[in-house]
Order: sequence, then C-alpha cells, then structure tokens
Amino acid sequence: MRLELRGVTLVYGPAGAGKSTFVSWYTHGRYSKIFWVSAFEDETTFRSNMKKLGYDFGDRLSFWEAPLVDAESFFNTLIDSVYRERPDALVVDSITAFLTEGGRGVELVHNLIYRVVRKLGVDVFLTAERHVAEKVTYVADNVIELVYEVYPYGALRTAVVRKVRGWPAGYTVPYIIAEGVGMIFLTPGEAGNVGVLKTGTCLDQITGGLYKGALTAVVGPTGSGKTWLMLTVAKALKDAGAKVSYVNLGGGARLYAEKTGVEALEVEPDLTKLLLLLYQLTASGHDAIFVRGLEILSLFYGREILYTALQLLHKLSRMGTAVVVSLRELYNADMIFDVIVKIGEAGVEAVRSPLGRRGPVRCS
Amino acid sequence: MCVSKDLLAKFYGSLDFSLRTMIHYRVLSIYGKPFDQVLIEEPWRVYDVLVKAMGRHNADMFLNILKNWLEKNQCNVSLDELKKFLTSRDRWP
Repeated sequence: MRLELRGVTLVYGPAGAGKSTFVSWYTHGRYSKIFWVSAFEDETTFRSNMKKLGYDFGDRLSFWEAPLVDAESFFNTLIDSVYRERPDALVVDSITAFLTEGGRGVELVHNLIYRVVRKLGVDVFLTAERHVAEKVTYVADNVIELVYEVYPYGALRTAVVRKVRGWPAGYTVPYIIAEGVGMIFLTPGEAGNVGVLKTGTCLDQITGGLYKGALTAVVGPTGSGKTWLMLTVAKALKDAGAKVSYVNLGGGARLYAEKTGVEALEVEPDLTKLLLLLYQLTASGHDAIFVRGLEILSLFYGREILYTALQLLHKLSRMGTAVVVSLRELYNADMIFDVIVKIGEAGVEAVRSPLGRRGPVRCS
Repeated sequence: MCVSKDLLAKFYGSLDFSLRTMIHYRVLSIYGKPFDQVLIEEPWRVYDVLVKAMGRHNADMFLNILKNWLEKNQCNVSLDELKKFLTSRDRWP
C-alpha cells in the first residue's frame, strides 16, 4: 500500500488489530533512527515478535519500556529524550492510558507532540484504542483506523484510511498479518499485470482465454464438470509453462487434481488461512489460481461470508493473478465477477467475458 | 544543598505503590538488595542502578519525578545537578 505519513499519525483500533504491526511495517523500511515508546510491552518481546513478522529493527531502534505514571512526568521525559536522541520517527504505543477522563493527556499531546516534537521534523506515530481515539483525531495529520472482527471462520482485518495530509484518503484496504511476511495489504497491482493467458482449451473460444488481474466464476450444478474444466485449464497452462495452483476447501478434489498432475492445496474453511495462502501464491508469481469449494463457508457460516470471501478474492485478483472460482450458482453475486462461465447440459458457455456472450461449446 | 538521604527516602515513599513495587523488584532481581537500601546507603549509585534495572529512559523519568517532588518540597535543583547527586560519590559527605 502506498502511503506517505508525514507529521503526526494516529493509528487506532481494538486490541489485536495490529496497531503496533502497522507502525512497524511503516517505519521499518523508512526511518534510520526510531524511538519506540511502549506502555505495555517489554523490549525483548517486542523485538522478537516483530522479527518473526519480518521487521528486524536492529540498532536503528531505541526502546523505552514506559511504566504508567502521571502524564506530565511521562511527557516531560519523552520530550527530553526526543531532544537528546533526535530520532527520525517517534512511536508512542499507546497513548490510551493518558487520554482517560480527567487527565491532562489531550492537552499534553496537543502541546508537546503536535507543537514541539512535530516541529523538530520528527514524524510521530501514536496508537490508541478506539474509545479514546476521537479525542486526538483533530491533532493528527493522518488518521488510520484498523477494524478487526473475529468470527468462527477467521479474522477479518480492514485498514480505514480516514485522513492523510496531502494524499487521497477515505478508502478501505483489507489486510492480513502473518509470520514471515508481516502486514500484507490486498491492494491492486500495477496495470501491466493485466493480461490474457491462452489456455489451448475450449475456454479460449468462448472467453478469449484466462484473464490475469481478473476474477472468473465457473458456475454449474454438482457433477456438471466444473472441477474437470478448471483442472483441464490448469493442466494446459501448467504444460505451457505457467505457474498455477489448485486450492481446495473441503474434500473431494485433491486426489482428482493430483491425478491430472496439477498441484492441489487443501485449506480449512477459514477465511484468514485461505487469504494468506492465496496471497502467498500471488506474491510468488502465480499466473493463475483455481479455487474450489468456497461454498463450504456458506454452508457452515451463512451466505454473508461467501459474499465477503468473493469480495476479498476480487481484491486479490487485482494484484495481478488470474483467480478462478467454481460455484454451484451465482447467488446474485454476478456483479463481483469479471468473467462468468456457465456449464450446463448444452456445454460450456461464456455469459460474461471480454468477447461478450459466447457458446455453448462442447469441450473435450 | 538541600538534597539529602532523608528527602530521597521520603520521596521514594511518596511514589505510587505500583511504580515503587516495580522499581523494588527490578532492582532486587539484579542487585539482590532493595532499592531503598541503595537510596540510603549509596545515593551516588542511584542513577546507574536504575539504568541497569529499568533502562535509561525510566531512570531519566525517575529524575524528572524526583525534581518535581523536590521543588514542591522547597528544594529547587536542576536536572543536571540532580543527576550529579545521584551519580557522584563526592557530592555526599
């Protein structure tokens, strides 16, 4: 995600949303001298956790394990330290305790952070819990809200870019956090990633091929041949040198897939794990990813989660990979798909594609 | 100079219970003796003991809190001067 956060940035959200991880992600690659003040974490744990995510700060970061004391003593020491150490970036993680009712926290944040530290040319990152964040949003040049919802089918995380000084704001970006890769935003890739893959199958006749950077649905009733078509296309692409994977939620297809020589990956009906796997495949340069069994999410957890999954796959496809999902029906979600292929008794038909409506044709 | 062992002990006693307990156990775990013993017997080591037990920023914060408390108790001393008291043997009789 491209962001330029200059001045004072407020990052807020509930516990577990990834506020510290977000600030680590942003500061790790951009600053050579970071002063990190943590009100709840010890240095060893912080460094170890961030290293696991891929953010090894080494000696670029000086850390203050700050105990909770009165706001005045804390901010006095903070300002003295900033003057002495002259960091490029100051992180206060978090300011929640100083913004509780009756304290002088808001006044101190305003006068000392905004009027003193910022004027020294130090970029400041403040994290806070949501219930106190509203008190200081007016002070911040940039405001990022991290929304974090936990469901039985996985955790959904979304960054809400509310305000960025000098940059566009007012948009949301889904993200995941995982060991080794850190914070991953599902943002569109470069326009150059969009392209067509010729498959050498009947798909070329009806849709013109498989489209990178697009989400394709293969729709048909059970036993109509969706899995067969996806595996045929996947195998043809693989034989032509493309990098493809077949991802299966639930049972039934893995043995079938591997018989055709296509790599099949099983994933639990867990949206977080599915997204992480698909991201890793995309990031490793996959040309196409085929996903079977998404409807198991709907079966277990209701229709809404299927829509959420499809929206996320739509965003993921925009990173440049061709993403193909098989479904028994469209569930009124046809607007999400760039290409829709239907399989019926008459054969395979494109009902939406860059070539328009074509088919049905018989595929072999 | 108004800084004395008695005042240091009074100040330590005035600290919030949680902060005092934290200092106590951190110092005890590293030096094998409680912080108030250092404060009374070797006040010139206080700053270094705090740096080792709690980090430099917390030692500096301790100085800030102490300076404010001393001011409220009619003992005005600069941070630099105070730091010298808590690091130099020759400041004490």
